[in-house]
Amino acid sequence: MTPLLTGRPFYDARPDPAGGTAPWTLDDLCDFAAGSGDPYGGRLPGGRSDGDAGRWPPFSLELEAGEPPVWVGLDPAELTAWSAALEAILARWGVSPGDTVGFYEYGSSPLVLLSAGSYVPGLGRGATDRLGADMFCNDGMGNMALRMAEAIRVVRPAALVVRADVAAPFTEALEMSGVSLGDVLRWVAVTVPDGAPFPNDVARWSERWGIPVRRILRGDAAFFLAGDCPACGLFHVDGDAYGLEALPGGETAVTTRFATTTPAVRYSLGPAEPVPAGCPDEPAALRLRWL
Amino acid sequence: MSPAGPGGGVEPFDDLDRLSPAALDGWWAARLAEVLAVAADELPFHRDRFAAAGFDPETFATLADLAAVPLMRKADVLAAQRAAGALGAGIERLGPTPGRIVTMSSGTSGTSFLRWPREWREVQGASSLRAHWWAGLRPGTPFLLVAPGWHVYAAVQSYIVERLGLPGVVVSGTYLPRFSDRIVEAVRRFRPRFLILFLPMVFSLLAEARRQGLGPADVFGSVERLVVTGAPITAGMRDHLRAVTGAAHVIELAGSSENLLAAECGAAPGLHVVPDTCHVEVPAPAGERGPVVHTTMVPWGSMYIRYDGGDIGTLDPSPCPCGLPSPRLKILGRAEHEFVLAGRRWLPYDVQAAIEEEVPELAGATFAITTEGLAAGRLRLLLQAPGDGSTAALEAALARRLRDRFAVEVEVRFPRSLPLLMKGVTPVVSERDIGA
Repeated sequence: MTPLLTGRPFYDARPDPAGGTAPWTLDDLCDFAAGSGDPYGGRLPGGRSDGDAGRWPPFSLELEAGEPPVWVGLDPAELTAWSAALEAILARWGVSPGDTVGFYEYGSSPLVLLSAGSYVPGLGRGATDRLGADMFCNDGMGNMALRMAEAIRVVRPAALVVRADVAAPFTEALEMSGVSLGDVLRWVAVTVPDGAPFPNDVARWSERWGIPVRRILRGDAAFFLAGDCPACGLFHVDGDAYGLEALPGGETAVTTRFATTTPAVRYSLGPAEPVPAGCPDEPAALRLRWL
Repeated sequence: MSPAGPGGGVEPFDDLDRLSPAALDGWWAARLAEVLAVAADELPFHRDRFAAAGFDPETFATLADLAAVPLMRKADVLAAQRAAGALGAGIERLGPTPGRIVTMSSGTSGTSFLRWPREWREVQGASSLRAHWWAGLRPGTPFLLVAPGWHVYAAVQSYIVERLGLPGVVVSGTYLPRFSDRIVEAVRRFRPRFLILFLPMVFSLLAEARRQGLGPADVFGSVERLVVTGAPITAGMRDHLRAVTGAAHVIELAGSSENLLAAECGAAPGLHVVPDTCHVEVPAPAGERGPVVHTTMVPWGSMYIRYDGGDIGTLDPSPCPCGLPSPRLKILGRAEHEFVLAGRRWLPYDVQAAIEEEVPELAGATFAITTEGLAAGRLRLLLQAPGDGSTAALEAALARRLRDRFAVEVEVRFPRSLPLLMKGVTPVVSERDIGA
């Protein structure tokens, strides 16, 4: 086991026969958190902090997909590295200076937080900041759909990130408001709290909205972010930030190189397979097929 | 209430807090002159309105000159926004730093979209930190970042956490009742000493705690300073909040997306205007009610100047024992919720205060006033029924005592539930709309 992981109860409990750490899932982390009473699931050095404010990480984020609740910790350098992954996705999808990116997503979503340095203490500049773009967030409730439609009509963003679970009320609101996404946006990206949206859903939304719909792949427990590629259809992965590893059984594990506060080593993203580099648009990019 | 400085007053945040009221007026006048000059030079919305009103910013010298500056209202901004679309309303001063956020200000009249550059965040953040300092925030406590992403406070609170070096905590979802279970869990885990919440969320968290079999101390046991915002609180509500949460200090903080900010010191009634966020006027005799008109002191982002945002309040310029120089504002409600009974104007705040004074056991009770009752010239209250089944006795007592206060017939009804919105139960509602 690497020195980074030693003394962290979650990893101490997960040795593998080769002397490393066994792959793990979000469920494993939640189970450990529930069993140990440690909100960080044993990933902080020394385990649970028992309310000692001096031991809290500079920034703590509750994972939406975690049940029971589980938290990750980050410092400014980690926030910056995570936001760089989002920046790469947005840049590849064409966000450029002067654009505005809208988010129909909770303000607590990493996608929103990492977008603008204004939202996160210590982040400095976020993904849209560095791209010279502006951003707004509408919150992620279905009953905010009419306001989202109004925001598109008035603010006229170039791109929009939407939670999959508000796509239906959003579609209704667009129809009620007479707002046509194709007249305003270049693309919409759809996100779910863990994993990626289903391709069939994406195809249906694209047809309904009359606009290209992109997919975001998330593994928040491991600070993992990837976006699909319009050219090859696979998820491109930043090899400087993430290492990928095919696991037996058709899953892929990620090791996040920048994660040190609550390290993410051999986190199983789920049913996915690494694909050799070679996309015509980004020849060196690691790629991942979500199954 | 706030951590005391020498002499028992509020510990000053910086030298601005040490000015005399007269010196603060001078400071305000100088800063307003800069704000007005920027607006005239760079912002077409203001330039055009100044010209139409015959106001020349170069003639501005003292606070008395503000009367010549035209008032603006949300309808003006919405009209300009509709005309200009993605370009904004013509009130936005955006600095050279790339990466701005757009926030929203929603209401019955429509949603305005406000633009905030990084230049604004640095100045506004420092000013908002002053308000939190007055409220007693100090280094050494985790801070729950509670503002939803669409609200301007989301950018301000992150600055405050950054400046004080506090551990920042973000709960998944958003600060609405649906997520109370997660917020309760976070408060219990991180044990903040200072907690700021929209008023209705306090009750949602208490309800969630009851559902989980927890007592108030299990949730709020660490909280020394509970700051409530989003709705004015009465004296009875403050006592009620102290009683039900156990927090030693309950502090009201008032703010708006368009630049208003004021916070309680606890030494005297009212909330001190935060001077480097806004200048506030209440065009009414001192201490009497009038529209709250405020002007930004931050010459960046969406600049609202002499903005009447629809709040009704009072402004008390008399010296405060706490030592802070700014006047004390008390927002009492929204103009759209004002109603007339027996020839007098009232706000739901008055009804709440009357209820808690006449029937103290109802302090903190959730209620609404119906438009149907008002149309019939009477006060018809929808009151959340107490758990002990004492509705008949309450109904009789309330009807009798409030009739004397408001000089009209009073009816009390106990519906099964009342709609909870972002800022609590809508104080004036149609019975038809809520199925009462």
